[in-house]
Amino acid sequence: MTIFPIPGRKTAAPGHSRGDGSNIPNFNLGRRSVKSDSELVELVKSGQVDAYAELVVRYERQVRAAALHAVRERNTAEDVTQEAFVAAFETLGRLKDGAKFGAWLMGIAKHRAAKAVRARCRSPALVGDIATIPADNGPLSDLSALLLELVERLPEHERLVVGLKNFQGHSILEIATITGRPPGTVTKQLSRAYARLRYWYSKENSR
Amino acid sequence: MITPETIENGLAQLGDELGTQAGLAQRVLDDIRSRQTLRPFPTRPERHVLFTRRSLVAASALGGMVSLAGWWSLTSATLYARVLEALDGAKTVHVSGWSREVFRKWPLEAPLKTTDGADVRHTVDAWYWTDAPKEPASYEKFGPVVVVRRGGSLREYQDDVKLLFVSDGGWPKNYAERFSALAEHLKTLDAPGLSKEKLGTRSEGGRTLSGWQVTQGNRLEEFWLDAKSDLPVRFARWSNRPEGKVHVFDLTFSFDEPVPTTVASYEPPEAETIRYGGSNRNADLAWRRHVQEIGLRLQDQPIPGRVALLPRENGKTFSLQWTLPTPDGKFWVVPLDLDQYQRLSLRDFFRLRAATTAGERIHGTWRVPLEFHGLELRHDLVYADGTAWQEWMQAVLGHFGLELVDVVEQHIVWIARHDGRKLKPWKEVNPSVPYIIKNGKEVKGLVAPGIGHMLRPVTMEELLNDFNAEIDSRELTAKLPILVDETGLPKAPAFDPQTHKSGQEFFDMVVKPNYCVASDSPLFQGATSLAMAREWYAREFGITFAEEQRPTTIHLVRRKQNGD
Repeated sequence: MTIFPIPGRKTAAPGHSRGDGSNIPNFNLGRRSVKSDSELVELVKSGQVDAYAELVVRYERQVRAAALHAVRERNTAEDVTQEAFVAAFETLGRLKDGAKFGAWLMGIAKHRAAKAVRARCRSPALVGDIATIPADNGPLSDLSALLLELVERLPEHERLVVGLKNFQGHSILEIATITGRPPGTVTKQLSRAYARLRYWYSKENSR
Repeated sequence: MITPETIENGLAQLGDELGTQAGLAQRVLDDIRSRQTLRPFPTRPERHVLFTRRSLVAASALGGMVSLAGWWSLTSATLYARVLEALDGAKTVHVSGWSREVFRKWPLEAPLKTTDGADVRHTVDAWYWTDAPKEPASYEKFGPVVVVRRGGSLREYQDDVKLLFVSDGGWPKNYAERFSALAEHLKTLDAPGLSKEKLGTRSEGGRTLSGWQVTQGNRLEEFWLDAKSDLPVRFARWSNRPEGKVHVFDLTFSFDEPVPTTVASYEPPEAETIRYGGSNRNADLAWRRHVQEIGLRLQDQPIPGRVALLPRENGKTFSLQWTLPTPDGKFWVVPLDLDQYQRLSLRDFFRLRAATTAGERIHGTWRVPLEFHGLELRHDLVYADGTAWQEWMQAVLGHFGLELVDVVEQHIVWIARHDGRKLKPWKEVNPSVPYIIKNGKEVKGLVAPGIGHMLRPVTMEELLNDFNAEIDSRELTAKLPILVDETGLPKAPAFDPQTHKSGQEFFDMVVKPNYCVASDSPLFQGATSLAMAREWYAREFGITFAEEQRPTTIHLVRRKQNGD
């Protein structure tokens, strides 16, 4: 085995392999009591830009899911995710009801993703190549890719609570706080969403 | 496999797999700020070329304060120009007062600012000056946060969370660009719904001050200038909140005061938690220092036996880390987390720390059930020099109640053979799937089968090693082919620090011109990549893979079984 320092990488000690890997952040933002979207939006609007970080962490997975579902390619999905958050910040002044931040953000994300897909289709450089690029669900297993497909079929209000509950691990009460919806409503929306997903999943599996 | 009844489990897995992108929140905030920084000055662009060095320093000083105050929003373009002219003569700027809000360059681990503590007034003490070597310098204390800048270097010490943020070269060195951050705030002058009102004049300390009041949304600001010099004197903001009108900050400006020595020579204290930004290279030193500390600790408190798994104390993390020996050479320290954001999953432990490119631990010989892949570590593995790998491996697995068992199986082996043809120049050999092109530029780094992922030219040895390392790296099934290189193609010599100054120089001068065979290594991962790989190697190099079954030792991970 040839050992020489590779540009941009550290040489591993004997007996150890290379040290790359995907990046998954683990911001320790969950230690505080949860703030509602509305409160966070107000903080950001009042000039506390840093409060936006919590909104990013809160909705990152949902935005990525929507982007990945639309563009079917991980790198572009990551670009779309970041762009959607920046675009949402820049137009936050237009959002009148902070409690609707989640749904509003998802709208922006989908718009951005659609734009990315259109740009990709228009790009002459890709005309001959696109067919050779395999669909890349990035980190998703086949099962997760299927579930993502199903989750994206859910009505917006149900998709949002499913994301907060199952992607971000929030409790019913926290979701109620975040979205400004009564806990009973959240419970009902979740239960309807699960019922739909179960039904669709059975149907897909029986094909 | 999930069932319809356990759909929630599947969703949780989907959430895990969607994961989160390292530092996305930080990048979004950086992006937002950089857009504010780089936008052109909308009202009087010609001013950029007229600024003297001193005015730019002073203006950049105010630019720093803008992040706190945004006071330009209350004035007019004409007034703005007058203030600039006044600042042209200022050698130092001192801003003092208080603020209920604290802004951080690295906000992600700080307590969120909240209106809950609305009665807390954080002291503001900020200084801006030009240092001896004509480098702009500043010291900004906002309550528990102190930010110091020296030329292109920034240090932010957050006393409340004992965190040091270090950034070098992370913001524009062109101070005209930095200055244009003010333009964002000037823009608000044209914003609909902005109400400006002149407050008239008043006397203070023998000076006549002229004032303006600007109302925007629920925010009200007051700005007072020295009527004679046009230098800013006071700036204050109020905000209408549910609990009533809250005085948010109140700042006073003074000029040409000598910078106190304590300010000019301030150095932030050492912190357990260090975060890095910009193009900083000190991440390297932070890890080396950590290994040294472990070495010293092992001298004082020897570990029982030869191996120990040391938990990272106080959530200590490093943005750059790799296996290093302790200074006395007696132990090796192996980082068992990925970086400052993420722990090391057991899957990545095998991919990145356990498996090797050759020998008995070669990639493809590890069989790790899926249920163990997600177990996580944030530790340092320490083992005495010369420890057998099985010993430290068992220590890591033992942490989770697992163990390693070797079994010998008939295993598929692909023997790589070359047909003797002359290899093409490396620049003419590209990965089987081309790079994505966006906006006319190649976008590298996309992780998809067949796309180059090492982002540099590679040797044949590296190509085959990479193929072997990645083919089974996600599943860890030990059921995919293991490669054996019998191409007979020349291999690059080992790097010799005696003959070359750096690895980079060695690579550029020796490896790249003589041994590189392709512009990048395609990612061949999983069984579905095998056909693509075969076709590519045959077409580009005349290399074919002959399949054989050979008895091979497979390393099987399982739960510890009593009595074995």
